[in-house]
Amino acid sequence: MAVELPARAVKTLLRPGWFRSYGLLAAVALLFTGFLVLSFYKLRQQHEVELQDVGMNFWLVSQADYELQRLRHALDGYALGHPDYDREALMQRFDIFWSRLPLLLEGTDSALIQESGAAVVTRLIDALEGIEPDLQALTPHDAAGHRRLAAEFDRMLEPLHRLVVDVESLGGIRTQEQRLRRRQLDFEHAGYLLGILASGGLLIGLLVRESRRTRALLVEATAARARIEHLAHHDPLTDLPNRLLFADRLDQALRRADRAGEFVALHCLDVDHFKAVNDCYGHVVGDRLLIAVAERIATCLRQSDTLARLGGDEFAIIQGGLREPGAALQLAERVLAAFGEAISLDALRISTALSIGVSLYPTHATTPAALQSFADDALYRAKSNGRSCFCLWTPDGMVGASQVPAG
Amino acid sequence: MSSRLGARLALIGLALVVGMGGPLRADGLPRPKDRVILTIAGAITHTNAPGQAEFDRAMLEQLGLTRLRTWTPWTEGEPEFQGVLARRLMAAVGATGTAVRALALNDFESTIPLADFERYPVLLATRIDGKQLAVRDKGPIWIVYPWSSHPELDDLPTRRKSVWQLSSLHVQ
Repeated sequence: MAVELPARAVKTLLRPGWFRSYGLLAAVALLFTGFLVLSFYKLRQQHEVELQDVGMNFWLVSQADYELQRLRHALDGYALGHPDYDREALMQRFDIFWSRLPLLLEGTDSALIQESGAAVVTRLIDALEGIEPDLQALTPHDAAGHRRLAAEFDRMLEPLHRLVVDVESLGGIRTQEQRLRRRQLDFEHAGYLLGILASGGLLIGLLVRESRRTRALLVEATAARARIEHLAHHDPLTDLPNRLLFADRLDQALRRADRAGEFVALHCLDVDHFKAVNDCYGHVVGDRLLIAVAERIATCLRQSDTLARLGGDEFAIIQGGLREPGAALQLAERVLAAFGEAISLDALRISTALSIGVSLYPTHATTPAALQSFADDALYRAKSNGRSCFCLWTPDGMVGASQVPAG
Repeated sequence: MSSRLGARLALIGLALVVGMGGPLRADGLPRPKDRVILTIAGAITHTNAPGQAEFDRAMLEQLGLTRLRTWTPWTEGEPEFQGVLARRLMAAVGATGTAVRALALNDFESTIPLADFERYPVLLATRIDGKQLAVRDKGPIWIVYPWSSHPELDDLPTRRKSVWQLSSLHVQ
C-alpha cells in the first residue's frame, strides 16, 4: 500500500499557510477513515469465512441429529400401534435418517466433519446396516424388540450430539487451504488495525499541535493588542501618559471630585531653558534629561496622582482627592525642592529647574478646558516671575503664592 | 331473499363446472398406476385428481429424461443426474403461477421462483449415475441445479432451493 507523492504535492504539503495545517489534517483524517472502512470490511470477510465453514457443517450435523430423534419417536409410535405410524412410515423415517449420514462424509459442505468425525459417522452407518433387518422384522406390540431397537437408537444419539458440540467449537480444525486463507485474512486485518492506530495517533498529534499553535497565536495577538493600546496612550520616550490619556484621567478626576466634594489641582510644568540644553548637548542628552526629570517628579507624587507628558518639555500633574487647596501648593513646593540638586547623566551634571502653574477645580474653573487654560496662564506668569517657581492662578492678575527654591 | 337465491344458483353452477371439469381435465394427464411419489397442486390447469396432479415414477420419467453432469455441495466428484426438466414438468401440469413451494418427506420446505426453471436447466432428478434414487440417496426426487456450468449458483439461497426427498409442489 505504498503511496508515492509527486514532488509538487510534497511541496504543496510543506508550503506554509492553511493548507499545511488543514490539508495535512484532512489527509490524515481521510487515511484514518479509510483504514476504519477497510478493517470493517476485512472483519466481515473473516466472519463470512468462519460462518461458511462452521455454519454448513453445523446445519448438516444438527439435521442428522433431528432426524434420529424423529426416527426414535416413530419407533415408539409404531411399537405402540399408533395409527399414524405403519411399517412404511417407520421405514421411511429410517431411510431419511440414513440419508443424512452420507452427507456428513462427502461434498464440500461437510469438510470440517469429514476431518474430525468421519469415523463416528462410518460407525453409525455400519450400525444402521446391522439394525435394518431387526427393524423390518419388528411387529407392533413387540415390547422386547422395541426395547432393544430403542436402546440401539439411543446409543447413536450420544456420538451425534458430540459431533454437534464438536462442530460448534471447530474454529481451529479446517483444511490446510482454509487455514492459510484464514491466516492471510488475520494478517491483513492486523495490518489495517495498525493503520488505524498509526493514523489515529498522528491525527491526535496533529490536532494537539494545531490547538497549541492556535493558543500561541491567540496569546501573541492579545499581547500585541495590549502593546498597541499602551502606545496609543503613552509617550514613547518617558512612558508617561500622553495627552490623550491625560485628558481621560482629568475627566475622571473631576467627576470623582464632584462626587466626593473634593478639590483637584492641575499643575502645568515646564523645564526652564530646556532649549539651551538641547542646543548645547544635543537631542540625545535632551531626551535623557527629560526621562530623568520625569523620574524625579514622580518621586514627589502619590500613587493616585497622574504625571503626563503633554509634549516637548511640558509636563502636567493631576492631583486629585484634595480636602483643602493648600495641599496643591505643598506638592508644587515639593517638586521644586526636588530639583535643588543637579541631574547627573553619566559625567554630565545638569542643573535643572522647573516652572509650575497651578489651577484648582472647582475653585477656579468647572470644565477641564478652562482648568487647563488657567494652569497654562499661571505657568506663563511663573515664567515671567523669573522661572524656577510656581504660581497659583487667581482671577485678578494671578499673583498668588510663589517661591524660588534654593539653587 | 334475492341475494340468497343468487348465491344458491352460483353454488349449483360451481358444482356443475367442477363436476364436469374433473373428468375433462383428467383426459390431459393419465392416472398413476404405481405408488404416487409426487403431487402437484395450486395454480395448475391440468390435473388427474381433485385439485392436483399425481405422479408415479414411470409417469414422471415418461415426460422425458434429461441428463445433467454436475458437482453439488453434498456429493463427491461430478455425478450424472437424470430426471425430468422442471420447466417441462411445469408445462405438463399447466402451471400459471410465479413460484413453487417445494415440500420434502422430512418436512423441509422451500420456495423456488418459476423463473429459475426458465433460466437454468433445473432437473427433478430421479436417477444418479444410472441408479434410481432411493430415499436413502436423497430420492425419490431431488431438485438439482447445474452447479458445474453456473458458478454463481454456489450460494446459500440455491442450497436452500435444492430440495431433496421431494414429495410435493404447490404452484403459487
